[in-house]
Amino acid sequence: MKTTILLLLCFLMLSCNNNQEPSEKSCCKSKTKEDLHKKISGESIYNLATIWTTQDNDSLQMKEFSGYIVISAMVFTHCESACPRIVADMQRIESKLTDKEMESVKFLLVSMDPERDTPARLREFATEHKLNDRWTLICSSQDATQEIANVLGVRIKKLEDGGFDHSNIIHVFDQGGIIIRQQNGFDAEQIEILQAIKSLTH
Amino acid sequence: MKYHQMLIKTAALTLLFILFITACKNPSQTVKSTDEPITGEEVAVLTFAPDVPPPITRKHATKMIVNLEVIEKEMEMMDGVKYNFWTFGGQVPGKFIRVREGDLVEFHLKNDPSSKLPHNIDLHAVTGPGGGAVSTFTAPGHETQFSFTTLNPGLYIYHCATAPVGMHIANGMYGLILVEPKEGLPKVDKEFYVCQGDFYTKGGYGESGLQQFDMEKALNENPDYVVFNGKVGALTEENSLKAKVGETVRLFVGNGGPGLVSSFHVIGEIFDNVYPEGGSAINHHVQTTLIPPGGSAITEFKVEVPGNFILVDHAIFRAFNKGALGILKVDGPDNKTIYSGQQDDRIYQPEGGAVQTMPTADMATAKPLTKEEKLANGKALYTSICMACHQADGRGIEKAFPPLEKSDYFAANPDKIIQTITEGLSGPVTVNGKHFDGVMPKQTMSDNQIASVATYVLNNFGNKGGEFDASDVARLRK
Amino acid sequence: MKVLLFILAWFIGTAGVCQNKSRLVPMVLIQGGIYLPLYSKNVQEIKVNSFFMDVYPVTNADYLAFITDNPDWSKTGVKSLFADSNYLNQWRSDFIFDPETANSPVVNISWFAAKKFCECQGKRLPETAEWELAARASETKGDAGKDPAFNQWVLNWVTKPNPVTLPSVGSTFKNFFGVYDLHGLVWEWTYDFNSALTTGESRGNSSLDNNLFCGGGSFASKDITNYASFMRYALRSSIKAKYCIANVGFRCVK
Repeated sequence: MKTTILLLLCFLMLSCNNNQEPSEKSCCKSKTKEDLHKKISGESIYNLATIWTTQDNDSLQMKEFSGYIVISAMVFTHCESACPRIVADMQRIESKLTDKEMESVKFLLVSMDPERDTPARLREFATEHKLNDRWTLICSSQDATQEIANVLGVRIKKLEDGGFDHSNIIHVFDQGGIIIRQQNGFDAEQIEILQAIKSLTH
Repeated sequence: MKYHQMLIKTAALTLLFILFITACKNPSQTVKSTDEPITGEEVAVLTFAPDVPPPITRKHATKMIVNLEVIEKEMEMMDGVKYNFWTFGGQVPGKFIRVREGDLVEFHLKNDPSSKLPHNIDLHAVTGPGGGAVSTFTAPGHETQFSFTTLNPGLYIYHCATAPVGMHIANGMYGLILVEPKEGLPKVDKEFYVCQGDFYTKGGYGESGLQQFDMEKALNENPDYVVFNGKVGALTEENSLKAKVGETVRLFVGNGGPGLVSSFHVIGEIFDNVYPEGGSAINHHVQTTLIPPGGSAITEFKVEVPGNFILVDHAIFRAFNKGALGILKVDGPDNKTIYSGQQDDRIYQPEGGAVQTMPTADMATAKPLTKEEKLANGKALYTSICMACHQADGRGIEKAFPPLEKSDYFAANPDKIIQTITEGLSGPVTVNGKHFDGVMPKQTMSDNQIASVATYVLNNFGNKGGEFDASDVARLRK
Repeated sequence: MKVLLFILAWFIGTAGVCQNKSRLVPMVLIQGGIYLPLYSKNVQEIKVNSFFMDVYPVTNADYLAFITDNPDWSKTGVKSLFADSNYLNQWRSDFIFDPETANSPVVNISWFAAKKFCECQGKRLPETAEWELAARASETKGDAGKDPAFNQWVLNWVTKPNPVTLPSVGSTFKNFFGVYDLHGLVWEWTYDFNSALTTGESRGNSSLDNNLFCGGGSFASKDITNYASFMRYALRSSIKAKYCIANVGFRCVK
């Protein structure tokens, strides 16, 4: 029995299944205290109570993005075709933002592969793709992953080789955590997403 | 290839191309435009078959809002036969949609909360992936929306494309959308909506009760029912299409399939104009037009004389044995010049007499036959002459041809069989409680032949027996 | 000790708090086996381990017990992120439904709600492969996937519109494993329903392009005549986790 608990604890430490209390040094702390205390809308993604781990091994809850516009997508780091393209599309969005807009925008990549995407692996991926500190990469347990996929309407089918078939969607959340735009498939211009961001920052 | 040969070829091709360009001055050809400004907004009026929404008279493109609801429900396939239909709007075929070329159509697909399944719609009038199918994949109790611009005028099928797509169509999920050309269609007096479809049921044609979808028959494309407007009899009797002599009629005809190509024909009419495949070309003087599953045709004709004009799929067993039969009833004065009706009926004696040998031996000598001989001859005659209408089992065809089976029509007075064969029969009759109003032509057979076939009928199909002689036939002839 | 471990495991699985006055729902063992998904690349067999499955779908009465303990999941309490406005539409108010339907399967339930319910029972939602494995059993056979009469029976139910009032659980047949109502009553949520990737454009599913899906490749279906299975797949593809639909219920496994 003791061994089981030990194993369980080890699992907690090593895997993405982080269950710590959200820490203060979290990467995406909200700008002001008021934001946190604002009543969360029933539609907001901040209602997710699940706990995530970032590429810097910090734990994080969705509500910590409160006050920011979040551009987000679900990916897995071993993906060879679609995910790099999604990341590139998101980077193109980033490149078209004004400095002022940049201040209120965060980029979030959510791993759909809890088995292979460790915080270290996410760090590696961020470096490879030259993602700056506006980007957060997170992973969590199978259950949390499935839940957020369903909140986002992302379809995921696990394949024999460990990879996934999945929908390619870029989501835009407003400062209250509500999805205001979903871009399905690839689009080099991303005009609609850029418009959505502008409408939120002006 | 040598250089000069290439040069000649290029020159020839260029010449051909120039000829082609100059030959195609017809401005309406393949011109598509999206630059017409959208003015105003309308909610489209949708109609159930055989009705068609009114022609579009406006001279500008507009935003058309189309609301279509998916409803799964049990309805009748023919009297006494029920089936679980899946419908666009609550009937088969689905509601007729009429828009104008250049319109921006805002399409709302609503899947009734009582539906068991998700559905979508592929409109062949849409330019875009899946014809809208991906954008309209709708769970029960949900509504989806997408917009499209009508680039091409024409008559188009729409249908559900959810897996298994064949079954969704086989259960009735299709209808027509007309994109009227900018200049409109020529004015006619009557417009009707007719859509053919085939159905696959566990029980054979006419087997009563709730019938289940039969997948095997569907895969073999071997339907039990081929019908116009979703039901046997949807266009007959009191449901017949109606017009008056002198009127012009336009039929918007679709074929939902899923399996069979329709050889659409109106008995006794020639289509003055056909827009084959629902496109812009016009063909004239057409007898039968081919309509593939997922396709359409527009036919136009002036009705010149009165009478019942029968709409059929001219793959004719479908018409008489599977239900593909409708009636256009035209009222008004006769025009004997165009159609006289029968003017005479006389003995035909080929010149040179002996070239053909008629079965005169029988006629002349009228040698009495035994009952067994009559039954054998009668069976052969029945099969070659009577069966097409009265059917192998003598049950006739609902609403068209009276049954001979357990017939109360001649039970009391068997002589009526002879009279019907020798004189024919037209006008209303009631047989076994059902009404018929058709025509049976008189039959030119010998007395012995008539005696044989009548004896055969009396001793088959659950009738109570009896026997006729040639002399009886002679006595009953006037 | 066991209890402690259980609570620990449970906290890992769910961050939220969950009250439960547990109710005894009979479960039966489903023997594991190989399941071949309807749409799969090459030969993608799924090995399913043995598991226990609820004999009946969750009823209105069962669900009321859950809501009484967890009012966050009542009609008015539920967050719109987790259920659309049709949530428990057949109920008159937060805690009241037509008493005659107490034993009918609860429907108009979102995936989130179904998942939460099972967690509170110390159970979980079945994987699609598990559900399909259990559901291919007829009354007499563990695998009746090739039995035309069985497939036709299932198909006949699928083609019928919903009844106005849902019958009680247990009103259909008891299958080989001892489970009722897998066919013939309501559709049921599965844990990974969102692994059904059809776009609703059924004709294109045989060649999904890489623009839409990472793996792409061939989605050729294994059994093109299993129409009922196609329809379950289409349903799973058409819904999202917050949808509450009048003919979708659920049951739990462990």
